[in-house]
Amino acid sequence: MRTQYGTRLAEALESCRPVPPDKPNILKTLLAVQAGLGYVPTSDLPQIAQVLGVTDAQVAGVLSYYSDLRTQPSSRHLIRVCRGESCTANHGLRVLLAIQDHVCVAVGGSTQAERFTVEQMSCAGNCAVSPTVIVDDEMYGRVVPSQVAALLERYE
Amino acid sequence: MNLTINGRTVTAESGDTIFLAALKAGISIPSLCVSHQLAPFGSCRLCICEIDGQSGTPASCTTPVRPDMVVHTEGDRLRRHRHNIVELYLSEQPEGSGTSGPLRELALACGVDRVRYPAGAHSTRASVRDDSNPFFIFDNAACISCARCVRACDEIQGTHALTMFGRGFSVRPTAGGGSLISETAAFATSNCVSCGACVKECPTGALMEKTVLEQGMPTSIVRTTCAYCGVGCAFDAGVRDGRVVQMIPADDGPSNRGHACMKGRFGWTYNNAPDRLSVPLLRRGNDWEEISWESALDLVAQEFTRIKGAFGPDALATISSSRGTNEENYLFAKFMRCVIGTNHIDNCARVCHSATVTGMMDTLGASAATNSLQDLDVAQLIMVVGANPTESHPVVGSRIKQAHRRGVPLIVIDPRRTELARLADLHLQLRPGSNVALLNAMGHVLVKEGLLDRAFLAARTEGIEDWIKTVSDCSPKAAEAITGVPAHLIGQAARLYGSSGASYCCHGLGVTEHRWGSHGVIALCNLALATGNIGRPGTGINPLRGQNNVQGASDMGCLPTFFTGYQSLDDPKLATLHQTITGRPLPTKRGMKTPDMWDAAIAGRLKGLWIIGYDVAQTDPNLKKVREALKQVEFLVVQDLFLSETAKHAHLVLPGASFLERDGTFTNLERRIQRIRKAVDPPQGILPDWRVVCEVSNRMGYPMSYRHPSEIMDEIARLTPMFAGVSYDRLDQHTGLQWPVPTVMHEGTTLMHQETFPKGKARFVAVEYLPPGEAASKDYPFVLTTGRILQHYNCGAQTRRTDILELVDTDVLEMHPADMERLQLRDDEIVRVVSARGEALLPVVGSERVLLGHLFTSFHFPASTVNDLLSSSADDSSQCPEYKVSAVRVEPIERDELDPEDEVELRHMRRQLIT
Ligand code: SF4
Ligand code: SF4
Ligand code: FES
Ligand code: FES
Repeated sequence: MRTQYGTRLAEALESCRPVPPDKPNILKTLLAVQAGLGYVPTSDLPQIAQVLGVTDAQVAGVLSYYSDLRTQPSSRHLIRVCRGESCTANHGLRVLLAIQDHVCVAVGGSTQAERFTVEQMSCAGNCAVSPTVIVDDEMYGRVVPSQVAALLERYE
Repeated sequence: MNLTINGRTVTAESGDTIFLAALKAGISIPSLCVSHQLAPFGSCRLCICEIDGQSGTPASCTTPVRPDMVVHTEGDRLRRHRHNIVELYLSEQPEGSGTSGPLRELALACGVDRVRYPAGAHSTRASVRDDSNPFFIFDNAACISCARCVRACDEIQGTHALTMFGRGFSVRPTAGGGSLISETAAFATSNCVSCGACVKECPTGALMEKTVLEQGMPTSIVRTTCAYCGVGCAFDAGVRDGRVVQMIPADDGPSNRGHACMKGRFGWTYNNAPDRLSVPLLRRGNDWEEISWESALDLVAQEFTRIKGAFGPDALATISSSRGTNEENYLFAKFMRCVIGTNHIDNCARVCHSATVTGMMDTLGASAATNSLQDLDVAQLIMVVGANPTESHPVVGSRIKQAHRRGVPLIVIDPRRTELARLADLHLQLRPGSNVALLNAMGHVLVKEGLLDRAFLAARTEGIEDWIKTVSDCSPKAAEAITGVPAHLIGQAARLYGSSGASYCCHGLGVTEHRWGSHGVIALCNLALATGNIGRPGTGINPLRGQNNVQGASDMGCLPTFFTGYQSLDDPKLATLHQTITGRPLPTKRGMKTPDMWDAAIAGRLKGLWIIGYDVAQTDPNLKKVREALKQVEFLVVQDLFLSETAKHAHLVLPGASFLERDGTFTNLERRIQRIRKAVDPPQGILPDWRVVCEVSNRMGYPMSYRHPSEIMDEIARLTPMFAGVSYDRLDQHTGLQWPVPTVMHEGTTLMHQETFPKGKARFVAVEYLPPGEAASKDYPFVLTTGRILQHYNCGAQTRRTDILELVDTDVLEMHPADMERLQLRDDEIVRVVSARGEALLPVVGSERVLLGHLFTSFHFPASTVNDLLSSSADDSSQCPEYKVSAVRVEPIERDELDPEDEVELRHMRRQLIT
């Protein structure tokens, strides 16, 4: 298990190792690590920094800034509900409550059998058609509470 | 251009911000996050203004000026906004955290007397306090997340140890990985080098020196100059109740421009160390007897008189200190020349840059940095040879990193993969001791590809043909075999260096401390001459002098072969002048260099020796011989702050005053003479070194009656054309003076050799590669290089007596990981390093900074006896020792072999390599 993890981390890092004169790309690297492992383990932060030739702080800054980056493993599906200004104005909170009711878990928690993890974020950059819900890589706009059940059906 | 601010017409330059234009005109705008050291940022919004014809309230610190713009920085709307902003900052502060000074003042100024938002209605700052750095704390409660600290670490220091963590309301600065790794020890686990730039920039006191927290804010300020390395950073020493509590680098310091490093900024607490000497100590067998100053001075005079009478002047010698002031160095030399009548005077430059002196004298005719640090601003290329400025001259290191970030190409020639080497566009990782082969091969490429500056060569130099002949045999391919550097990299480096337009070269002890050290310096000068990279802004040959006054000690004539200002000892005009001013003849016979003194002592020819502030018994190579020599001397006087290894051999030990306790001048690595000023009194009764010389001299029948060091400087000026225009009045302008200063009207010289060289034309000296004095062999398969690390300073006498010890408390042997694996060594395992001369015990760590087959260690701790390993091999012409190449082997040791005493010392080590 651990070795498989190690290989996947190594592969992700290797694919992003900067070749001079290219500058290291921290965000791209963290996304690659997350793609390989499902999240970015903080214990590997020094190793990531070393491969990129940057400091721990530079990696930590990026990692803590982007809501797309996770430092904890999530369930099979990650639901993120936008709580930004536009979404809030368009009743995003009601959507969030509907989702919580439907999957029976609070923000930050995971459902039984690790099917869903629910998180909130701001802002998803989708304000024109808010409120916004993102499940894994797919973005849904103009979501209303009544659609929630059908929407989540699609994710096993 | 002109614009109007608050009804006043103000002149500004294009590119200025409104804030800057106002500042220049004396209009102050409330601000927190702006700093003239940093790029515009605009996060605190206090400096908002109104501009006619434009809506909104832009931040004046990020808005560039336009001609005829009409700006208002006061007014009801702005005042209301500022009031609200400050109130919002206050609302974030956790309950009971106690508002920090600057914020409280601002609140007062803006009339905020209460916060209208009820507690709990909004988020407050997380309570995070990090006191893991030995010198300062971070308290999130006082922070306003302006990111000035982060910007300081990035833009000024270039270490990137800080980041703004998180986003939105919860954003806050943190060191390293912050809460992702260990929030309360973020500084300790980060790559922070404790330069203190962030602390200085922080406007709120969220980052604060521990000394100030413990002892209070300074009540008075004294401008002085740092006494560690050769950069010569200007500092404001903050004093409270007769003690220094803070050292802040001065923004108008010409060499450091407000920046500093860990040692100067925080490493001065040795001044209050409990084991500082305060009374003269006389040896009684194996014990010390405290004696009065009177009897101590009498004794020196008596013994020196006796020895001179019995054995003649040549039985006495002095080694003065490149840590001491110019005035003191001059006086020691004067004492030897006028009172004793010999030129047996030397200083510790012998072991570091004496090869630079010789090499630059032979080619350029003057031995000092040709250019200034400000030239780093205009250089088109920077080449660093055998130097590790980010650790040994950290402020220069930061400046080079800044230039590199602006896009200036960087070449590093060094056997080690140092921080700069990792950043560099080209790192030529040569084998130790092969500098000349590499530099000649670069010359070969320059010649072959027609990159010589023919006009410069014809007008300003001689001897180019010899050099061309010599380098024509040094192809990059041949050099590759000697240096291990791929031929194409050598070619690339030569092309970059030769065609940049202005190539700045600085070098360090990696060039000089070799068997053929002065040849290395000559080879560098040849390259600069061949490409015309000398005598113009942004170019030059710039030795990075190691100690605060190593330049000055040599300038002051503490050399057996030169008088002040490198005047020749047999110059008849000088002889007359000397006689007139000092009343004594100038001895013309060359004196002994330090290594010759050891030989003379062992042979019984040297009977009396005076050593000032220089721990030869720890820092000189081949310590066995040095200690033997010290034992042979009949009368050894040692003057020091602490009972150093050398002092332990003395018959008489005189306590010294530290740089914070006396007046004088130091000369930095860009020839800048700067004042040091007394900030506090020395421990009771201690005489500054210059007074000691006067007292002894008086007792020996040659009165010296200076009332203040300034009078000594006046005498130096009269004796030395190069310093003729130097006086304390002029030095008290903050910029000091860069020599030569030939007249009192002369501004000083930032750039040497603009029109001519001291000898008229510069001379090429053809030098060929010769192998180092020692090579790896079957019995001694590793090549060991020694050097400094950031945290400590030379013999460590000072830095080991500060909290720097919390960071690094042992020397460490760095070995390539593949060698570690081959020898089956683990990190931190203690090994025995054996050379043909001696052995040392050191903890070993794997490090990619060194090449396969090479080792590196520092020499800051006496317990590691690193210098026992080194040979007496030295540069032929200058006798600069070969610290950089020793053949050794590494053996594992059994635990029970360790001396229990050492074991304690070694077990307590924690390594912290700057990676
Ligand atoms: S610690 Fe100081 S400089 Fe850094 S963000 Fe906070 S207030 Fe600004
Ligand atoms: S002390 Fe210097 S290196 Fe350390 S975080 Fe502050 S600015 Fe960066
Ligand atoms: S506020 Fe939700 S998408 Fe922008
Ligand atoms: S000083 Fe201009 S925004 Fe802070």
